Amino acid sequence: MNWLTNWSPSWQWFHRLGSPRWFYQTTGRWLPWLSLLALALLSTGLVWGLGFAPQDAKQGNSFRIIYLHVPASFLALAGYYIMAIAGAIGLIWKMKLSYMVMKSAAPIGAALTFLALFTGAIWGKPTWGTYWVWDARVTSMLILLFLYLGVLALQYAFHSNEAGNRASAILALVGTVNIPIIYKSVDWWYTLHQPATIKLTSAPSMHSDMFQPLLVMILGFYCFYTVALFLFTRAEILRRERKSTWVKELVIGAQH
Amino acid sequence: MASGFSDYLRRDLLLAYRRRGEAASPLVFFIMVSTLIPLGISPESARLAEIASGIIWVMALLATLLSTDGLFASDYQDGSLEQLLISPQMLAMPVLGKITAHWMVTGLPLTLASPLLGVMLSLPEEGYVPMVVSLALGTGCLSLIGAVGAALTVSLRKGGLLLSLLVMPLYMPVIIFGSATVQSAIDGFAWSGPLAILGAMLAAAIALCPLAAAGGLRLTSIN
Amino acid sequence: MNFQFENLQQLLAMDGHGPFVWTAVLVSLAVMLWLIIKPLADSEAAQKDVARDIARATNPNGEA
Repeated sequence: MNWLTNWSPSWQWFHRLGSPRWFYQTTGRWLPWLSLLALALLSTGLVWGLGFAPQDAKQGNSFRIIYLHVPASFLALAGYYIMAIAGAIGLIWKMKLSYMVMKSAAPIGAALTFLALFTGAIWGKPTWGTYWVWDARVTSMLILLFLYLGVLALQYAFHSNEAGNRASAILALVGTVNIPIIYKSVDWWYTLHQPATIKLTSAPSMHSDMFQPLLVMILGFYCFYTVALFLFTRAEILRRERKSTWVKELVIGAQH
Repeated sequence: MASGFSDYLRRDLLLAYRRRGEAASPLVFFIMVSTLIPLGISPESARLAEIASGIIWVMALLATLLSTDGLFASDYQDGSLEQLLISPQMLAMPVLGKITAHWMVTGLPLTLASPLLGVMLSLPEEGYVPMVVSLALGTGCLSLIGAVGAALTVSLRKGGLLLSLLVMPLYMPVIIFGSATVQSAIDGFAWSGPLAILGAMLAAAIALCPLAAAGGLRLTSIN
Repeated sequence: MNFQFENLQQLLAMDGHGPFVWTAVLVSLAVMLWLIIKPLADSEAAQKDVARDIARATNPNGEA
């Protein structure tokens, strides 16, 4: 693997990217703008979706929960892949920063998965008449939450931070291989048992007036996710690197 | 050529034979829990028959989960795992040997005992053959997937409960297709479809799980 | 594109669906706020730890 490390300068960026200090400083510059963008997109999308989008012909106003439910579900699933990819990079290139990103992605992903389930349940009450339905998507989302909780639990079970990182990276990768299988199985299981009484509206063809605010919300959630991931990773960096000179200088600089 | 596979298979079977009492506990658990079901739900055979296939599968899963904890634990404690890790041979083959032994000690007895539970829970007649076949393939999957979790948690003092948290979501496709095999036979449909998928899962698990478990052992137990 | 409700009361009620919609909104905002505040508080705590270490290193006797 020596050629990889010696092969500058094309690999320089990769190694600089692996430096927690570089990450801390760069994201520090990006964060104000990114937060502003996230805030603007989320508030625009929310006001648009809750107040201005036309109501759904069948579901009435309860359909407006979609503007939170769908973006949260998107990021919940994407977050698992982000976590697994970060873990894989950590395993392959032994990059400390990558593990920190992986560790930070777990609580964010779990929170968003919970949010997707919660908003889904609330949406279910006026739509299906019940908070919980063993629908294929709901069940898959619940299993995704369990996968996240497993990674979190494994991470904190190890006394050695490094062993915990490696173990949860492997678990995240195993989970990634399994997610498509789980989703397909649950889909198949659901078609087998589909109760006749509950009819789910299968993704109605949305009017563009309804779809545009959803798009804004999805973009907003992506920006929000990035902000949260940066913040969690920066906190982790400060914790892990507290003995290093640059963190000490940073703290002294902040005091004056 | 299967370097280490048969050595470790034989060794673990011998060890299990020496600790017969311990090895039999998943089977005893499997049978004992089945007496709780009629007590908890109803002794009526019509009601039991309806849920028998699912119950037997869930119990088989829990019984396998109980014993997965010990897959690498004793080797870790007596140091033989460390010896295996520093030996030059490919780690996946000995691991597969150990998993096979684990299946022969837990999954296979469960499979063979399942008709007895079928009788106790009034499983309809059409369900027996599919149940035995699906359990034979499915418990193999469960042992293989469980091995990955066991490898990741060996070095933890209280890994048992954590292990079940990690592994349970990964078990879900197996239980879906396992109980569906039995249920479709009972309902009078062709049951080869779900069984074939179960077989495909087993094949994929045989190819991937020993590698993942070996990686887990290497990366978490050396420090 | 028009505002869909005539007044604030109607916006809050949403034809009876208001409690559902607004609970979803409030819980979502709370969870998202937590995802921002938690890491900021952690960073703050970590920086305080570092500051204490520095203070201890420069002034080992604890004299002011």
